[in-house]
Amino acid sequence: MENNSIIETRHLSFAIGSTQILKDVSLSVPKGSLFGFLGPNGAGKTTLIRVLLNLYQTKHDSVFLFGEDVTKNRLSVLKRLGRFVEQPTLYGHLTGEENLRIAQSYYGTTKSSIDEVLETVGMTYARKRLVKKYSLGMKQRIAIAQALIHNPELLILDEPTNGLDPNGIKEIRELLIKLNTEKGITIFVSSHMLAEIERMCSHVGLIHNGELVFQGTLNQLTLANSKRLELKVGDVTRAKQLLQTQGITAIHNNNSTLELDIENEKQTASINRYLVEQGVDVYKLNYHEHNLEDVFMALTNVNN
Amino acid sequence: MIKQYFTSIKIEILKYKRTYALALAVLAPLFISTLFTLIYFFKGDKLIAPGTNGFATLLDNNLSTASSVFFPFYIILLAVLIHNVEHKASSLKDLFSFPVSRFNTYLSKWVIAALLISTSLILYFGFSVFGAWVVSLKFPELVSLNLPVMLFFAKKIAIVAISSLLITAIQFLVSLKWSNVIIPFGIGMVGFISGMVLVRGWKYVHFHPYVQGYLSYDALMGHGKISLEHFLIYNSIGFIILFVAGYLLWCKRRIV
Repeated sequence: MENNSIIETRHLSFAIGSTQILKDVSLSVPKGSLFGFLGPNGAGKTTLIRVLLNLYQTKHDSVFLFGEDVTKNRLSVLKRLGRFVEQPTLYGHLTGEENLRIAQSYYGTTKSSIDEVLETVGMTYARKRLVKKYSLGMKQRIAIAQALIHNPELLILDEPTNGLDPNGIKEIRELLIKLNTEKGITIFVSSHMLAEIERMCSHVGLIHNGELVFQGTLNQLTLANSKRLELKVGDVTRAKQLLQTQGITAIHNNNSTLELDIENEKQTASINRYLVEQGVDVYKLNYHEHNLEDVFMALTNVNN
Repeated sequence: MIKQYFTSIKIEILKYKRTYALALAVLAPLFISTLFTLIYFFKGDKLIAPGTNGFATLLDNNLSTASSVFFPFYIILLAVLIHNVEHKASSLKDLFSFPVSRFNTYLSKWVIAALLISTSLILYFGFSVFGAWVVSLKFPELVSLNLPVMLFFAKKIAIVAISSLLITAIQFLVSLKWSNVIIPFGIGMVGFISGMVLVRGWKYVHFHPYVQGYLSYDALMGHGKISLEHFLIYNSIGFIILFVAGYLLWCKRRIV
């Protein structure tokens, strides 16, 4: 395995009954990254997270965390990570502090760790209040505090912003960025909220229908699906030939429009200049840079 | 390893703070003992024949009702409430992803059940004796406290508790299996009612799990045809088998 990978799956397949949920997933999450795990609803994100946490058992030598096989070293692996699966599962009849005491006792940390994580997630003021009286955002924060109580090297979070209002989403995002940059915690966060992933993650994995269709840095993902230029010209055939001589392949869309992949915005100007100098009239230039949503739609539609 | 078990038990105790399970453990014995205290306080002179041991009569009548009706209900409800703490919070996925073995978490649930039942039984003993003392203040000539009767009462409670191991294990198992309250409670009710019907004449009723407490009490008082040992051995073996089955179920449980 790559020395740098904190999470690695090798040709991981998983089925529940006759339904194949994960298909040959080979994921590698670099240490220190803030890794966004994207996919539409039902793509297999939560299943993969449950497999990583050994809540679903798989065959040996397919899931490694910290370089250790999860199926063989469950307890030692779980000691080093913090997790949040789908929704905050807290005991409503206990206070926020009492809920944290449960995690603190399981991980065997000092009592002061409760104060520290409450401070980190900004929940000190509500520590004595019963959880059933908390808002969803407050519950999410306590659940994240629970995941942080033993100072883990890795945080695995499944849809941590689900159900939150824009303010709550922003607060969780800022918290995750802070934990990653200031404390050096590797964060693996699943979401179907593309804008959130785009704003905070350094790396991305994209799962669709149980298959990992992309993994890499955010830049690689958007570069892999290059920027596009739409050109409206007087003589389409000649413009296409001229571009061909420059090594640029253009697609003839309709009567007077060409579409082509370019590397950056500057290339728009040089293409325009070249065509005009060659006597081709250029009526319209439409530069379009793919955002994560376009890429996501493209990758998930291709595989449909 | 041992430290981990104690930690798990300590955590379980914390989880049951402010729960209905804890309230039930205190209120159930208080209710049944108070009921009998009130009955004997107001009607003691009609219920206790002069010249008999009124103290023993009161405690025996109390335990006879408790072992046949009250205790099975209590066990059914308690098992549901113990597991409901986890089901309600949907916290099994969290529990199973803490660095702690599944056996540890399973055992600690049983320890909590044992602690709650023991607490109830001790309180039941205390409340009943206290109630009898209150009755003795009104009818000093009929009821007088004495140590041998008290000790025998404690022994009878212990025997009824051991004879209820099987129903406890069954209810624990079904409450663990089904996350809703209705199914385990319904199974308990079916078991209890069928037991109450069959006890009137079915030849093999001494194998019915839901009347073990009732029949063992009869055997203890020398009324039944089956020996007391049958109930103690049958319940102990049944409990061990279901304890292991429950653990396997706990390990195989798929988190949804």
